[in-house]
Amino acid sequence: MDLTIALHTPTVDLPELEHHVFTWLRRFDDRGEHRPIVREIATHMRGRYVATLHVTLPGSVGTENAATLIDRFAGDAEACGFHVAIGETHGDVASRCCVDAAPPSTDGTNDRTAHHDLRDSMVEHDTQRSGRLVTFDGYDKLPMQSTVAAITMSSAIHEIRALGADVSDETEVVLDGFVRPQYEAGRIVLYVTARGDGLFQTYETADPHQCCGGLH
Amino acid sequence: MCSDHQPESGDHDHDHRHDPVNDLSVSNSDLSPSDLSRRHFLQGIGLLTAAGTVGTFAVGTNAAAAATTPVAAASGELLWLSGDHHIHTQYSPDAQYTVAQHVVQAKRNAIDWMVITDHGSVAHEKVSVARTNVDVTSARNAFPDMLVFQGLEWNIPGAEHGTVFFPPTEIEVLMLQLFEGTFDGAILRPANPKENSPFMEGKATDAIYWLAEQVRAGRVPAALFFANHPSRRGVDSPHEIRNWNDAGPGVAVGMEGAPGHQAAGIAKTLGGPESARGFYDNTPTIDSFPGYPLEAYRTFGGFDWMTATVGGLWDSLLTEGRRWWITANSDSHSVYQDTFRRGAGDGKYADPTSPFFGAYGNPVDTGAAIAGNGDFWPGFYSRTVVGAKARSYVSVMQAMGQGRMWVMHGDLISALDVRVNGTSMANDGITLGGSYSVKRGGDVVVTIKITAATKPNNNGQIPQLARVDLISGPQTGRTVDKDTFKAAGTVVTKSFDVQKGAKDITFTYTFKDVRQSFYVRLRGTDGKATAPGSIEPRLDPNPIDPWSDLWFYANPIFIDLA
Repeated sequence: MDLTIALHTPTVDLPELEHHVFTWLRRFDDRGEHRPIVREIATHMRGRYVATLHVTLPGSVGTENAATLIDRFAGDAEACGFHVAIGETHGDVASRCCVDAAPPSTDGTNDRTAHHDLRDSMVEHDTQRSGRLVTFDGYDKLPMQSTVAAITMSSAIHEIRALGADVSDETEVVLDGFVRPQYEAGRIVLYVTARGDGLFQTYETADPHQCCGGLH
Repeated sequence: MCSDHQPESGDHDHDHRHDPVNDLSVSNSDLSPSDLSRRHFLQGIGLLTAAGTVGTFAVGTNAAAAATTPVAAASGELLWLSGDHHIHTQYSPDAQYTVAQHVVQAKRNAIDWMVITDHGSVAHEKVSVARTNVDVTSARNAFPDMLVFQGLEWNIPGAEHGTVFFPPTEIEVLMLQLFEGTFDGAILRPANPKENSPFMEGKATDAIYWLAEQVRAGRVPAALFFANHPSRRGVDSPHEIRNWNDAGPGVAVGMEGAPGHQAAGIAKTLGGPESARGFYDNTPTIDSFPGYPLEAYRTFGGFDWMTATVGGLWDSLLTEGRRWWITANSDSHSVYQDTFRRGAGDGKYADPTSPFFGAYGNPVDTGAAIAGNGDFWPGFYSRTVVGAKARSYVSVMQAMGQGRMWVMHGDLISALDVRVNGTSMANDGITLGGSYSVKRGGDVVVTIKITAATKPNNNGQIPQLARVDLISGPQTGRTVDKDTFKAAGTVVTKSFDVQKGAKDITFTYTFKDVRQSFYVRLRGTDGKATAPGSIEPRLDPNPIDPWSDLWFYANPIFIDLA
């Protein structure tokens, strides 16, 4: 069974959201053969940061257990402070939402727009219209540096586009273990910029300069 | 006053070895009162040693080449004064230097005016503003020919940072505290955690209304606001910029055409941080304007995307006839290859129980260059040159408010004089920031006079200007869509190649049979780096030697149909 899970919790930036998502996923490490398979993680900006996960439940889970597992996803997500929506995907059809749960509101109000943002983000990811990818097919096999041709051959990345310059198949790209491509109209595109040494590097870096020591 | 000879700014080609203030064989009683005050000031901060030499705050090859090119220009009765409106001190949580250190370094780099702009915060408003004023007042007394403004780097509610400043008055501390306490985004944010909200945007325009009102009411002679590093995080949306300008057309008058932190792209192997030029290495966030392209978050030839793009956001404002000017500054926090580290109180700046609340101790000389610093001293690399009618605080602010400014990196040229008139024979005419009126069908002549660089810059090079671009665009009136950031009609009208070795360079261009209001602006380059297959500035690679790609930009002149 294929699921799309959308998560939102108030975070100051994307790295913090990614951290929360991976912390939540570690809750399922003890599931053994029933451990859900996370195929892709994407992030979205819809006035808030939303993460969406494409997840496959192993066949061993079974239809009956799947409902229990989905409930556990939702319960754990709420316990982690996430507003969560879970949808079931069928082929190319966007997720049909089966769970929409939010953690208890701290100020006594429900954030109605969060629900829509989660659903919209699920649709974005499912239709591959947009979304910044955190994990994707082949992401964990990418070396620290590789050619454009090798990167597109060995991962789900379709295309590498340079800002303000051109790249060829032979162009070397420094990946440094941090690769965040994005969906654009069904294609996964990795943006890069030129380095001063003839190589290229990913447009988004793991540790951009924090203004004012991160105080502002 | 300042015609074809070296103007007053020429005396900034000073050499401390010949300065009686630094020569301790000259007794105190033989010094003028102002020189004596300056000697005491230098002694007080440990810069004047018993040997009579002026100490240095920086080491390394750059500091060794501290003799800078004085900026001079012949423009009628104008004094072209170099300055920097974006400088941080020990009163910022992420900086370290004393006001005095910056003033001394600025003097070395032929700076005439400077604005101290520490970050807004509770600590800054409660403590730093008043303490800064003590130091600024001391510096003003010690260096009467240096115009030392006290300002603020305002956290613009819902947006980036900006410089806000007034000329010195008896109420400058009060005015800064009032403004900061009421309108600073960092102070407002705890009660309004959503940064990018209509409420916060409204606070920003309220703040500019307030500044304008203080000028109207005569409480201050002038007030100015410039948006700093406007594209760095993509959070200064086009409509916010237009709203600021609408809220106070005489106050909210521009932005940094080039951000500071120009050493931030220097390679780690050379002691730099190898971040991105200007520390422009961010990517879009939920607070960013979604329409900006990814490249907007990077610099181009050291300049901000809004300025560097012909037909981009700056031009879209000028096309509307908005008086929106550019500047270039150091944003100096911690200087490349400097030996000083932050003084006592690290980590305590925001702690109200600490004696270092709002103020670090004086920086400490480690004796060795510190790796990873990404800034230059004021005037060391970036320069905003202002055509003031007098060497005074208010005159400098008036010139800035009226756009009589040009900017450059690496002392690419010595002087620039741009005139718009009806004939190329005229020596007068309308200069930067001004408006020239022409009858329909008339001709407009743009005369560009440039004095080439003649002395080594702070990297030991005599820069060679290679090309000057005359850029023009139609004035088409106010746009309906305040988020427009394109001006398709603005183009490079003419590129002039500069003959190698030329010292006094003159170009003219005639717009014939003028039938529409328009504007012109200039840029020039050493021609060492352009975008592939183009004359446009290159998206800066990383790492980059900032001295390897130098540009100047001039503010526009408007041509209006009579």
